[in-house]
Amino acid sequence: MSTQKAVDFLKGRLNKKLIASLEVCAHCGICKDSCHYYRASQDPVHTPAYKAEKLRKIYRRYFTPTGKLFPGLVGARDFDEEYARELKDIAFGSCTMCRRCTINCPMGIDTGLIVRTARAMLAAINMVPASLKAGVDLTIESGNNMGVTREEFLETIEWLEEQLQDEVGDSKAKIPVDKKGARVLYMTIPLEVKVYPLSFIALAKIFYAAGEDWTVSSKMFDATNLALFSGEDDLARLHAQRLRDATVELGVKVLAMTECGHGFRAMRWEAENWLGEKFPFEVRHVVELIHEYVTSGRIKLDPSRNTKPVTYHDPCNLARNGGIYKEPREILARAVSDFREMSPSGVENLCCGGGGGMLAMTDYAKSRIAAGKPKVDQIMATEAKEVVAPCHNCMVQLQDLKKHYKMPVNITALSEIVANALVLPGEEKNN
Amino acid sequence: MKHFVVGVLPYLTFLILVFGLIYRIRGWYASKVKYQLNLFPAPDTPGGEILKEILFFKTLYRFERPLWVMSYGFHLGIFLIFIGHIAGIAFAGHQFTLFGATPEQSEKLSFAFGMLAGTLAFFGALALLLRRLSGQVKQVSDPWDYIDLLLILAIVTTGNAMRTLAPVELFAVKKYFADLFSLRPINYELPTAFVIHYFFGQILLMYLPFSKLLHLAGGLINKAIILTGDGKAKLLKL
Repeated sequence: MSTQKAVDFLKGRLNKKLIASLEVCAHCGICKDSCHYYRASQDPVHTPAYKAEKLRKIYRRYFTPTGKLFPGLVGARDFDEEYARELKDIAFGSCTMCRRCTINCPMGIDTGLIVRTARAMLAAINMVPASLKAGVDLTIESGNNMGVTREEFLETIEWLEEQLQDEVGDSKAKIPVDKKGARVLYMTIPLEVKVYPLSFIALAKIFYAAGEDWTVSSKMFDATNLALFSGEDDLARLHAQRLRDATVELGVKVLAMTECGHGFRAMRWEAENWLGEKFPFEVRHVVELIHEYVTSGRIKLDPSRNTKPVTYHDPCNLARNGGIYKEPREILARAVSDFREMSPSGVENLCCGGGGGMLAMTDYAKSRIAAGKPKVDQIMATEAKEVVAPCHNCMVQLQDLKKHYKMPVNITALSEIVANALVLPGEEKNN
Repeated sequence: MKHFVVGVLPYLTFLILVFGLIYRIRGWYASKVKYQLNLFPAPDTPGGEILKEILFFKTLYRFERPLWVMSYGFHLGIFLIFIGHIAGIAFAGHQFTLFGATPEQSEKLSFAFGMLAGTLAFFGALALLLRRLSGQVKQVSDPWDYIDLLLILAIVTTGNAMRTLAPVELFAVKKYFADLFSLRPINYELPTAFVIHYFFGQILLMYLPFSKLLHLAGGLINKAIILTGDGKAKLLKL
């Protein structure tokens, strides 16, 4: 293993945003309370400044005059194999890159960017944790992270279509596949189709009620972009390219990403920069579409159908990193009768602990569950019975937390709550 | 030695400070964005928020009130000292005559502001140092975190001493700087207290571009990017 390769990689990656984030830390340490790892453990090694310092030490050693001349004085370190392993446990194992510390830093230091850079450096010397790497490789090989074949997908969609027809009582209700010129391409994830089909059916029901001209692609059906987290930039780019190509091929106007935080973020906020082009379609999160239907009156909701107390979890990549936090609240205000806000909420909401590819990395499962404790406390304080999270990754983590901490709550996708409150055309007259 | 500190070193200090800053900041801005991961569309921030951050350190106030007291006092003290040095030396303590004070009143006001600024900076720096030496913050500190604070404490202490224990004639200092700026090497008769204070001050200025004290340059710009970053179009331009 040549650690020099990682240092060279860092050199190629230094831009003003990253340098600023590496240079301007005053070591004040107020970021500690932003971090769910710190809140759970009260251990100073979980202070974001301390974690970012792991990369800063290398940066100083190789790229600053003081670090070259007086490494001991400024805490600069040689990047050797032992240090690389330490960096790995910090960068992959104790940060979800939720960026809560970033918005709460007086200097605006992007610790998420620093950690992501460290991951990319480690990826350059093949040090991505094996479980995460396997997910990325399968995505690149098969087009999706569960290795679902096109045939399997089509079969499942057929079955889901039958479920939809039963649900809405209309044998003409369809899940259009590869429909060219549709308005919306719904980009799902294989997990939703294969394991948690309820949210898929719920969403199909909403599209049906809204009379949306939508379709799914049998070529690409995975919004997940694990390489965003593994640090393998070229593979992240490749997956984004495939999603883009599939979207362009169908000629749709809107690429609607499923209830997934990072998948949305990757396509909406990162992919155009990666691919160096302006997409000929709009990238939206399905929550935005549902919001549009609800506020424009395209679908009608009856909040009295959701009477249990409901709280809302803001996925980091949707709220802080995606800009979507008002829409889901406006939807829920019309879909449930007892909504309870977590504290803090919106862009300040705490990470569930499953982000940044953490769920895929089995090595760090124990600390992931421990770091979820602040989220559990937040949920319990609301005394809600339903936790809505428009992100399948967050949902899986919340399910794990529910099991481990014995939370008496249901974890639900936003589409399910909305579908449950949905007043289908024709139903109104009967009431 | 004394001659070196007041007659030669200042020019060196100036060169190192200016070229150091250019070198460091050019290094940041010349670097190209090779991988974009820069997105903060989330917080809709009104322009006033940035001003609040700059003027009042709002984030610190929200998160750690005791630290805010230390840090704000410290930085405010430094800021007043900075302004006070320019005005106080340029007008030899008579700067308040511009606002209608008599020369005697002006000298008293100048002294009072100096006391206020010196006290804020001294106790601020001391508090920050003690905080850094205690508990968790100690674990995330490197030697230079202490060096920065010790250096500033040394400067502030000698500065305070010059105001109280060993008063220095401001007019002499003004004359010295006038000569220095016009590049006229003369025989300086300056008090030792001043020379020590001046020496530490120059060390700080030379060290500034290469230290984490540079957070004064990058920090606010960085924070402004985070607070106002909105939308895809803007990101593509970066």
